[in-house]
Amino acid sequence: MILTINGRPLAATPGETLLQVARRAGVDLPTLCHHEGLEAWGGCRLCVVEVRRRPDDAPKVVPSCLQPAEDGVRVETHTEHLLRIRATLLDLLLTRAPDSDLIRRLAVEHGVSDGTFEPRPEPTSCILCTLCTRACAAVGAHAISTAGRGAEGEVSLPFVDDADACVGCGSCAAVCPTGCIELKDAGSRRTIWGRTFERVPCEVTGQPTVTREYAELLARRSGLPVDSFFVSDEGRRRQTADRVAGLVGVGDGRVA
Amino acid sequence: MKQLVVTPIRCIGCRTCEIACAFSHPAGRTPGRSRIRAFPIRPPEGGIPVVCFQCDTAACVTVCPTATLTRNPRTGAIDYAEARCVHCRACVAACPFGNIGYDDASRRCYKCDLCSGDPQCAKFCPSRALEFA
Amino acid sequence: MSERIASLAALEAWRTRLVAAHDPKRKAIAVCAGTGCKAYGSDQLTAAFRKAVAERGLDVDVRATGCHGFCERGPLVVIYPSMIFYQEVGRKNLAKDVAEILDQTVAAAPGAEQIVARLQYKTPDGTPVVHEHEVPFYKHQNRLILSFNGKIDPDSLADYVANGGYRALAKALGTLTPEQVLAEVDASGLRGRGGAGFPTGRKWRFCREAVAPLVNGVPTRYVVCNADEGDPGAFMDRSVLEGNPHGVLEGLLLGAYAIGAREGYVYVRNEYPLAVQRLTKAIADARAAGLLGADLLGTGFAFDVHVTRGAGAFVCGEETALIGSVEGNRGQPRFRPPYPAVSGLWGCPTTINNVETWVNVPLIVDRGAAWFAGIGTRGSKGTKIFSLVGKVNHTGLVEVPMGATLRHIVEQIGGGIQGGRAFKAVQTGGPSGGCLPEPMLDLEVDFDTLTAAGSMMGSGGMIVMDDRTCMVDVARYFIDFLIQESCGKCTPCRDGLIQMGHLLHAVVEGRATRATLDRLEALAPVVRDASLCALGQTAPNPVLSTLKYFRHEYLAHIDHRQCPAGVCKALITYRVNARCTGCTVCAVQCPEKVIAGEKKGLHVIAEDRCTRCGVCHSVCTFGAVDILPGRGGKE
Repeated sequence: MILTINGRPLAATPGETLLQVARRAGVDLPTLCHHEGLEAWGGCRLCVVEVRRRPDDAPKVVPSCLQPAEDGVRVETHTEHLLRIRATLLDLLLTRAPDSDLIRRLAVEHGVSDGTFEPRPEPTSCILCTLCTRACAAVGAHAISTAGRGAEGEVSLPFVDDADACVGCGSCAAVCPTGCIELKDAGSRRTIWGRTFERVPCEVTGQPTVTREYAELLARRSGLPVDSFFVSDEGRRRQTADRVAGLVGVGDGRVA
Repeated sequence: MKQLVVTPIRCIGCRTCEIACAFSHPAGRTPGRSRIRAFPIRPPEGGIPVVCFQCDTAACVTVCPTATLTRNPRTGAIDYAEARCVHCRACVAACPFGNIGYDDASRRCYKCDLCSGDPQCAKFCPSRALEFA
Repeated sequence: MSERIASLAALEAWRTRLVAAHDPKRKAIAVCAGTGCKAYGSDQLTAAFRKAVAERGLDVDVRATGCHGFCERGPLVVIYPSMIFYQEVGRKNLAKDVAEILDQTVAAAPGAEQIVARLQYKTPDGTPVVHEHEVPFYKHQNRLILSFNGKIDPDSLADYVANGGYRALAKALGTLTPEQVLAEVDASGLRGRGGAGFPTGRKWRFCREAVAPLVNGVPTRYVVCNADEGDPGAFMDRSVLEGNPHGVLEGLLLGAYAIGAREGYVYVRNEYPLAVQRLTKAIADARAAGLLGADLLGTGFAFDVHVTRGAGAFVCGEETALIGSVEGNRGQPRFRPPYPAVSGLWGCPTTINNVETWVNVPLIVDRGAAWFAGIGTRGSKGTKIFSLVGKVNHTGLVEVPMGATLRHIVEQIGGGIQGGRAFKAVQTGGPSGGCLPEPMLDLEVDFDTLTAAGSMMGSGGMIVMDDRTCMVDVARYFIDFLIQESCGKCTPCRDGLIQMGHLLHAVVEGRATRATLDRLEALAPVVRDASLCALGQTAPNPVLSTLKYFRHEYLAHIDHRQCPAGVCKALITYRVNARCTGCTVCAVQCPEKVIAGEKKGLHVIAEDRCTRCGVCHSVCTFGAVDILPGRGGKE
């Protein structure tokens, strides 16, 4: 199918979103809640574009991360109206999360140097993008979700402090765009969501590998034995080299 | 389809493959982590190269929750799509051979991608321990 | 009758027996048992009537019915067959009212009835009215759907059948194909009554034509009744569910037949316990009678329905959030496409319609699309139920044909503004709608006309405002409501509405400048255009429409620090005027003790310490307390 973005005709395949087509064509659309590996959320609204099915239609503002590509659709990505929407959204987000470098960078790129709205009584860097909760669900732990409604929403453990389901994989902290999930690694101790985990030391190198809880989750998901996860990649490389050495018959069956 | 063929007995332990790999996969302006390792053996001087087997049924693919690791139909390699990664490191934990790692500095996994079909390690290997054939 | 009705013929036979058994000359006392009248004690009234009728040995049927509509005059009683209308029965003296009605009106021979004058409705000029259909509130309506409400006992399947209930279903199952039923609804021009006004037939067709996934090997579609009714001030759906639950069930049955569904859900907001109760009983009775379940009326058609209760979220009236809630997930809207008609409940094609939409369907199938299309305007067919509330003389539930003017509703039915005050605005569409001023009163009630004027039909809430309503305060009220109800998924609604709230609070609290207005007007279109669902998309409507038609009020708040309507506490002054008789009641009642004065002397309010609570104004019987716009010495 062929559609046009900012006047340029572009090919697209059924099942693609407008965001995918636009990015492939080098059109820079900002996103905050979007992640290729997770189901699209459509909450930050930064990726909004204007679409028209027919040239005389009034433009409709839609999130490009979710809007399916359609044959013949006319898309505009940077009209004055859209730029004003993005600037306002970033102004709102920067007001909410003034300490986030990413939000500030995006805001400045859109002409907003500071949040101009009334700040929250208690600051937070969380913008409720739900990347963390979606990642946690993808990993299979389902340990965190959003609690509360509207502007009082927050990412939370069940019953505020029940961290039983957390496996300490750290994916939530890794995908968070504003860095507001605290993950502390001190040696083999990992603290996250108010819970402290032990990362099991590698049998070969002694370096921390994964938490026992995460290993159990991985074992359930993959069918591999739990203990197989307590060797680090470095340790496994060494074991592999030893095994090959043994097969080939060199170096007394061991590497240096 | 060509494959990266490893003949350990020919390895002289020079580790040129590691340098070629690191420079072919820069992380910012510095050489990145090498996806291949040549473990030295003494005596006699030699080495055992360890590199991703691009397994038919790969544990890393099985365990990845976001389909970040997928087979490249052109090169035959299992490619890592950084944009899809949620940094859960299940792949790192699952690979039985240790052929995928996670680099904290660049916040991404690193594994052999056969240099998109032109593996530099094989190109630079002086002893034909690594061949792309 | 709790036996199973085994066939279409058996249903008609039963209906015939019921109609034959009903003596149209037999007296009956219909007591409204809608939520409003119940709150006034109509349950005790009904019990009192039954007891007194038994004691007197009268051959009179005492019936508790659904909501009659004239809610502010409850408890309402109508004497059949003469249709004598009584209001506020039992409010002051239950035993006396019951006795006099029975002895003077009911026990007398037809034609010789005496009217209990104090319980009659009187027009604003004092003229008493005898019959229900002469009461202006009812006279100027077209009560098609609500006609069941005063007549039948909502807990009685027999009453519904005797009044033509399930005749449409029998006609459909017996003589029409599903496609024909769909075509009839399509041709009728029925548009969704939930607010969006999407053509119902077209929605059904999308659903019917969508690929239905197999569930337990069977292609599955669903019908859903949206009874979440979250708009403040709206109670149309509640009254239909309470007064005519079988009407809704029959609509769902017909819809299921037309689109190919075997299961349905009614999603009722949790705050409607009586509606849930009546609906649950109706479902149980219908199941026992074989009108729900397998092999209905021996035709092989199967359909059953479940009641799902909400949990206090306005946003769950949005169809995708509703679907999430029924599925047991968080009630949070999802992007469309896919539309529920294609992929809804558990990924199956789902037709979601509002209560009022569903209850129109049996009428359409029974009397035909042409009949229905003959009512209303070119673009909006049939009738619409409104909950008429606010500063009118007659508040309650009204049903008018599309095309009736707002003036007709406010003046003819509503009886004009209370206390002879000036009309200021009418708000339709709840938090999604807009306020229309006096010059727009001649607008016809029509989906497209109201939208073009900057408001919308909405689900039917209609709030009438007079000169003592502050339009800025109205906008603030709706924004505050939506801030509480926003699900929080998208930035513009979650974070934008809060900021719109801050800006509006600044205006009503006298802290705003022209720049405040500029920011409000800059933010509103972003919230409107970038929000994920209709909650956020329509949230700016009350603000934008009041800015359009009542900008001068905003400017009075901002430029002159005055609330002309006398509402915004920071911008008004309470002052005693010359009518003060020195009765000291205000001084005694003042919670802040800021009123000074001698007995029989002019009282004075210490304006700097007055909190503008309004108690003095409401307790003064001499009209001696003025509410003046502005603070600090402005007259």
